[in-house]
Amino acid sequence: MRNVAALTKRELTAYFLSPMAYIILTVFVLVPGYIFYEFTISRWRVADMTVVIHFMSWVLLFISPMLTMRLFADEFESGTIETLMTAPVTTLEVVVSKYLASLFFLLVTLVPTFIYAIVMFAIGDPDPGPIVSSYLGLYLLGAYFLAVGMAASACVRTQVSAAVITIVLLLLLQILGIIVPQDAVDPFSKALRYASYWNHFIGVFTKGIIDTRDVVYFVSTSLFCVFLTTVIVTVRRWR
Amino acid sequence: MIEVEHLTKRYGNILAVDDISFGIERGEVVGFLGPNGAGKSTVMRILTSFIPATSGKVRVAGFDPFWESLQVRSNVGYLPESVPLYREMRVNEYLFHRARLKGVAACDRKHRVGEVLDQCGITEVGRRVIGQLSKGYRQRVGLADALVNDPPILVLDEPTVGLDPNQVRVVREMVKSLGERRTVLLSTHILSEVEMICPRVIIISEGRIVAEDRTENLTRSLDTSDRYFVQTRGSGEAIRAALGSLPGVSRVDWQEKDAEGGLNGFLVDGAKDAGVREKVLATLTENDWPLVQLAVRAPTLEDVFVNRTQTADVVGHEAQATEGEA
Repeated sequence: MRNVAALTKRELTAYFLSPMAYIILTVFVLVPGYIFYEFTISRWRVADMTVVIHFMSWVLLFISPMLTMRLFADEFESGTIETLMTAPVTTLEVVVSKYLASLFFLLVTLVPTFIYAIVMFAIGDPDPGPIVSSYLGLYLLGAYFLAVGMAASACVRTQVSAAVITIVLLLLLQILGIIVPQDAVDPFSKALRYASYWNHFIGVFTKGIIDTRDVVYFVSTSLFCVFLTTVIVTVRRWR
Repeated sequence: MIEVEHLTKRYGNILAVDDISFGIERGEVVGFLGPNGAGKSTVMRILTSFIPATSGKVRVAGFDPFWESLQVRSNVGYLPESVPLYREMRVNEYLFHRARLKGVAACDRKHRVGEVLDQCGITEVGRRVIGQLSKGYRQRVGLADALVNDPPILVLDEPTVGLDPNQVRVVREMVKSLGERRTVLLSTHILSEVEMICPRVIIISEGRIVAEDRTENLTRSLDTSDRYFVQTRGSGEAIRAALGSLPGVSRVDWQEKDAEGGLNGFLVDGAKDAGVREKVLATLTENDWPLVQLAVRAPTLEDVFVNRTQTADVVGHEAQATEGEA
């Protein structure tokens, strides 16, 4: 893991040198900001961030693929994978570095939205518990989206297809959690419900519950995707 | 430094490299020559551990590119054919990054990057963004990248393709000077390039080695006949007939037909030491055809190349045909 620092730095440079980063940052601050101002503050006048958090989870679903589509698809498209993988670095180092860079960028996207929480504390008296757990949940959810997106990016050659595949995959995973009846007890429905991230986030982190099972779900699936990406990148070179 | 034994590479059903073996000693500059799609890049990618071989034994600097990939990579500077670079980075920034990846110690990095920038003549574009550089500059940035950790082995895949003649000369000179201390394997489909910079050449066609020798030996092997270019004025048909009937002349190729001012040019092949040149001169004087030009045409590597790769082509097609029937 000697090269992770150097590789992560290069990935972050790539993020901040592209206009996409600033577009994403702007969207992520302004769009939920509108919801926060228009509904939570002006219309309903509630000291509760649940709606904004829900909304942000949706925005995350659409912006994460844009953060990850570049990671490997671009390397394969432009051929830089050849210079990268003939330098003395391991595939795992490359994958981990790219993932770390995207995680850091996710943090940078989330931090400015703390302003809503601050505003809420300034003008009202919200319960801090659900806000803290929601942000933790949002971060875990985002990390999961990024891991799925990175794996998708490693499978294809163009950035657009990487983004489309990721969005479709994430929507499928979400719908799975919604359409399977919550009261079904047969093992198949339970497995499907468990596989979807929906029930691990909504109604858990958003309500102020930090359950180890859900944390384990997000962390383990993300790690699995990191591992999967390593395999895909290796196999693609071997063909 | 590089040993390849019975190397074979298949992409699915396509046989890209077919059982080739060769060796390159320390300090050699070897040209890897072949038509497009001959398998040059595939071999280079295997040597640099980018892709694995299907079968065969490969050793680079004493290491196996598959099992000891990291050791091989630290010993090899590789310039891929397409010169892939991170377009959004600045030249200096990119080379620093690569130096760091390739394990150049932090205290040496500045010095090394400065050195390769200078060596490749790109110091003045150091602060420019790579994506905005011309093809020639990008090629040299790629070369600087290959050199940045001072590797003992260089693998350069078509380093002069897409450059203008001046840049081609600069890069060739550079490769020549690099070869003084390093082992260099260079691929190209430009024949004159190999003749100029590589003392030894491996010609590959359809995945097989069709010729491998020192450059001068290869050209000498074709040197079994004399070839002259004769340019004169007069009736073309008559001249051709006269030249063709000379004893010792095996072939007359009418190259320039009744050009401006009634000029006719012929390529005359004759047996070695048959005195063809004197006989041609005598015939011309006899018939009162004024001699404009008489030149000796030495066989070039191009002739070897055409000669060997064409034969291989025919053999290759036959092999494919039989495979198809079976």
